[in-house]
Amino acid sequence: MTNNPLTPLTPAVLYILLALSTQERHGYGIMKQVEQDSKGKVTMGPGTLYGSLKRMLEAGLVEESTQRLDPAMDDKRRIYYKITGLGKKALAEELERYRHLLSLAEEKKLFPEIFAYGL
Amino acid sequence: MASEHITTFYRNVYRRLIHLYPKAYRERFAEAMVQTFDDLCHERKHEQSGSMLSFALHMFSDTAISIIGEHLEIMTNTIKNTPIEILGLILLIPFSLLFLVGMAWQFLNTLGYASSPNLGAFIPNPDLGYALIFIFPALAFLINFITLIVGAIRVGPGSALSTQFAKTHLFTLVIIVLSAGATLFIFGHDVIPCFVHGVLREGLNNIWPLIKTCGNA
Repeated sequence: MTNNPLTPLTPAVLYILLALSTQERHGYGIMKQVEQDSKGKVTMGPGTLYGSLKRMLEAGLVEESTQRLDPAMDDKRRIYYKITGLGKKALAEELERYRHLLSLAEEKKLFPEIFAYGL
Repeated sequence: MASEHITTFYRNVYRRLIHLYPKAYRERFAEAMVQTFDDLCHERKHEQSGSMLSFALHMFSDTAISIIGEHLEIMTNTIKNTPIEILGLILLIPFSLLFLVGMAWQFLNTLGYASSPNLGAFIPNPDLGYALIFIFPALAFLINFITLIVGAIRVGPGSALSTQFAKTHLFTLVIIVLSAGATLFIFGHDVIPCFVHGVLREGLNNIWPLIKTCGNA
């Protein structure tokens, strides 16, 4: 288990880690990726995004990057973020937790029941 | 053109909203947040999907909730890091409330809008009243004074007299001053004038009887 105070990860933190798992991104880039990954179900405003990023920075899950990967949208005010080793570990553990829950639900044959109720 | 005015207006409102964040947070994220808001405004205008008003309300409410959360986090951390000072502050609350009510009452009485102040009416139990008004401020002073002394001993006499020490113990010092003021106000009403008057009159020869006499004053 990673020793970070954010476990279990909130949906916002999980989606931000997922967005940063493929490449470094700035705030707006993270928001767009989260929207895309969640198929539009998770839309966070700047308040939620930067509040989560602050806690993730403190927990060492992400860090600021000096690289500029999006020259078309370059601006000095933009801060790019990248996932850290601890962040990758926390993400892997959280996904493993989800995998375990899914296999448990499958074992208990909950899926057909849930689908039968249209949930 | 009109939409440009509206967007500029929302941007200005958002910038002002950002100023409500705690200073440390603002210094770190304000510029990036404004940039992100600008990006979202630009995207919204470009796509022309949905109204700007609903978009702005979503952004403002999201940021307002985040601002409250950041301030609450700071308050929680303060309580965690300074439990003695917070306890001192809580111990001072009953006295402060009664003091303010008493002053307001006295003021209204002077103007002829209220009867003579009778704060005893607010405290049904005399023992509880005695503890709330007399003991609690003195206790607040004592525990914070001990905390300050322990802190001073830890850093040594040289550092304890430095400005840096005063800065790091500012909250403790404020509580000490407030509680000392409250204690002096409470006991100073009768006890201190009686004691000073007794010493001036009789010298220090009969000090213990004088303390007892003034304590019962």
